[in-house]
Amino acid sequence: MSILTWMLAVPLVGALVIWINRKNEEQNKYLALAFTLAPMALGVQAYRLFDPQDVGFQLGEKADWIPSLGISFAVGVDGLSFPLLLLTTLLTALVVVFSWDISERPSFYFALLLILETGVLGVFAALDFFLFYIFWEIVLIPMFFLIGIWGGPRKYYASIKFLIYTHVASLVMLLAIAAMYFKAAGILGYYTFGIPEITGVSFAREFQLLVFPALLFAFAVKLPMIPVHTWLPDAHVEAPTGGSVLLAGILLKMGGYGLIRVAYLINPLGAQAYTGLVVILALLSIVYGAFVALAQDDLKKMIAYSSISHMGFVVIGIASFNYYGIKGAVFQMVGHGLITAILFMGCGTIQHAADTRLISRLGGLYYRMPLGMTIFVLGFFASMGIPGFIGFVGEFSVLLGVWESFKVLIYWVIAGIVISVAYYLWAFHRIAFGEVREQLKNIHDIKPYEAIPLLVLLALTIYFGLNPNGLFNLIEGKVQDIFLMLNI
Amino acid sequence: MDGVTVQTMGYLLPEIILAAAGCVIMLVYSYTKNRTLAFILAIDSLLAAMFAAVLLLGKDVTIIFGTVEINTFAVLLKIIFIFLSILVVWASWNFAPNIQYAGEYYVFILFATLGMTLLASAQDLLTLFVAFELTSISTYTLPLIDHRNEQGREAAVKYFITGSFSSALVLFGLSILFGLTGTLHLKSLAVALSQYGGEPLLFAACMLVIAGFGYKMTIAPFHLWAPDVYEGSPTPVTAFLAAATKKGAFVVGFKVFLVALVAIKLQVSIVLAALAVLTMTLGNVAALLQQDTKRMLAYSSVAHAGNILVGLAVYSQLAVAGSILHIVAHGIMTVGIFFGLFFVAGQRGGYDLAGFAGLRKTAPLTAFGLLLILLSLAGIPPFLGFWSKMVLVLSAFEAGGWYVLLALILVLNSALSLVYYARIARVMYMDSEPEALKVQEKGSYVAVLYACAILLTLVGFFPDQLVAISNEAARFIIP
Repeated sequence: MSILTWMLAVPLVGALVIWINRKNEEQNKYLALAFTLAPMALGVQAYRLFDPQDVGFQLGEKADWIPSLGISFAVGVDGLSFPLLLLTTLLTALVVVFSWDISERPSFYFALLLILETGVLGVFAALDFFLFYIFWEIVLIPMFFLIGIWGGPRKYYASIKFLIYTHVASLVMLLAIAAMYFKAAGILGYYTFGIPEITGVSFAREFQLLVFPALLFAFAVKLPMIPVHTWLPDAHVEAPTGGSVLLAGILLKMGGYGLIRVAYLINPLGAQAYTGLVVILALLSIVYGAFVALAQDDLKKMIAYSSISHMGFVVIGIASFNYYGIKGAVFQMVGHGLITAILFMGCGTIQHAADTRLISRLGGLYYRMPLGMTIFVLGFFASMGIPGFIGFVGEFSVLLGVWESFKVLIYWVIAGIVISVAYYLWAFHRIAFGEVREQLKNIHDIKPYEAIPLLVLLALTIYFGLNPNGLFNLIEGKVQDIFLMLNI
Repeated sequence: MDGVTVQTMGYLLPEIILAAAGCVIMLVYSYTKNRTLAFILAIDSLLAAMFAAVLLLGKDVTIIFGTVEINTFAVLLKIIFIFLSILVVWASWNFAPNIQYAGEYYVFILFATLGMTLLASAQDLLTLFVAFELTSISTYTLPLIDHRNEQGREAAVKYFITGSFSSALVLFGLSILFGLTGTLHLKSLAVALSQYGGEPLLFAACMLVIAGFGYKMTIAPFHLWAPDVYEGSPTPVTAFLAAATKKGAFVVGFKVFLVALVAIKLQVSIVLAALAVLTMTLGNVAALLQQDTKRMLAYSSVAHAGNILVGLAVYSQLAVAGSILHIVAHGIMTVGIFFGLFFVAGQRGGYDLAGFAGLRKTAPLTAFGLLLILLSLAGIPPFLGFWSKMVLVLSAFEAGGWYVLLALILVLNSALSLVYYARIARVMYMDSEPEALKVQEKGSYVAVLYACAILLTLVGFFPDQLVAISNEAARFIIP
């Protein structure tokens, strides 16, 4: 069994072990931690084995599963999926630490986190379209329960909305996959769902013009892009903090990954034809998302809309079809994953301590929670794109790409960045400084189990912000390859 | 080979076992009134029939003057029907002690299974009709088998009247086909009808047959009896009706629409596609509006019948394989979920959705089993329900043209059905019921629930054998 298969199996086994052991809630926390640190360790080992110069798929394996339909169990990673895979293992482990004091049904919670981890890892590792689709769908169920059981006041509504909305999008993606499957079979001469095989086939332009919009719709819902973003504010706001971190940190990246791997790499001609539409939607996401964030009173909702805005950067980066844009898009996915985790965790600590997320009810938090607020504001800086943090590197690369391909439109993107500065600073100013409210006089600073994940994420954000080559080396080869493949 | 020889009887061994067992149980039970003995005889005869059927796999013969054919399609469906009946009889172990006519209950199930196994092999219209009627008549009295259930009487009368009426329609349609061609044999009909391409009488016959069989298949707009009858019958009977006899009607559909009426296949395909869309949508929308879980699942059963009909409408080998897969999957899912509901309703005093609250605490294994089956019904991977829908979608795509739209509607309906399945899951897992006590999760109902859930998961992980044999079976319907 390859190392990737182990990485997929371990969290699933962990979920089973925790379920069997469900009476011992205390023990299960440590078990969950162990079962999330194990994939991280495997990830580090995989990193040692990974060769960034090789643009093909590595570290994987392929086994026949349903030969009568051409479906195989094929996994592998390349420069595009490997960083996201590592990000997943990291974030899930940190979420387990952050959720250490969860009081309601902890065993079930941790089991769901582990199943979710397997699903997301599977999406990034899958090299067979059917396997990809199966893992994609598997992700929906744990998140449905996470929102519906541990969520906020409107959790029922948010969980069903999330489930149905994203399920419909997945089904549209499935239809597109079916179309590509049959078309590829006609060209290759045999039936296969394999992603490398189907990527190797060049489909006729007319076919791509039909398939690309379907895929665009499917991934636009996941990313999300305006106007199919409406599930995200509800899902994010109502989800428990751990759920929100994973939702924003890695589930949204599934959309970005799918957009590149399936929509752009397999249908480049279709993508080129629809560039206008994609750019408009991306710019809308960036600017409109930012404006709506500015108007929010609920801190978590503001961060949710800022996620929509930042994922717009990923889309416009890839839509620019040039080297810097693509590089920025891939980098931004990893960067945003880390940063948004800091933001949502910070928001969670505030909610934990002050029992409210509404900016109008908060104030003077800095005097009561100095460490928490410091980390939080550094997270804000990172998200704004201040140099020294990882966010700047991705956004700047995207800006270079946008300038090269879309010239004047760069002002819209810059406007988005400027507005992000506005909403972040204004929000922080209102919650951190000023008079300490009566009911907030006795709140505590962040707990150790909340501080550890935050500090780890902050450290990584600053490290890669000052020294991005560590990440660049990983993705460089693949970015060049994507650039070549797109511009055929 | 023709005529009644020992060898031909060997090929009909499953049917002979079932017929003999039915008669024996009737006699034994009327003398001894021993429910346990009747159960043992029923289960053993079903297992023996299953064994005899499995031995027939791989053969391809035609016997009794061409009216009965034993090939992979026939044997696979025999095995499926006998298996579903085994599940229902096994689950009825806790049900039978409560009913007065327990022996008759088992006998009816056996005879209905006999009819269905004969159906699977039938190659001419008369055998088909007789087998179909055997199945139907055996099940007409089942809704009122439980004398404590008052709704069952209304259900039985409704079922009997609509069923008989639909049989009359079918007979009329089939007699027109005979009148036109002079032959009853399916393959000869296929050849002979090709010269009657535009004949209005042929279309009339076709419509009558679709209407008549559509009743039993619970296709809209002929499905109106189904929610009432399913809801009114005792739940084990509902499970049998929805899982087994409905699928029997689809087997007839395979043979009549796909083999005999191949001459007008384009028109038939259009009509079936339209009916499939109507059925899926009506079924799912109606299910959304229900508060009673039994009625909700009854409507969902109608919607799934629409799914199977898609395979018939697409008219390709892969589509038929998909329909067979969905027959298997839906059969197992139906038995599992209805008996699961039966268990919970027994504990909570009714099928109302609100009564399921907090099930995860009081009956965690049952809740989990129900969850797995609900996910399978919704078509969530990696359960078996997903694979069958998937093959149907792929086949519709392969056919191209307007069938792609059919695939889209199938897929959207699948998403729609997730709403009410998720609602049940939500009530079980997210709502709380503080006063409810933990229940003993034992008995035949939950045993079958677990068996079905496990089966759907295991076969869902490794579906290749089933997919391959369904493909093989489909070859005999659409060469």
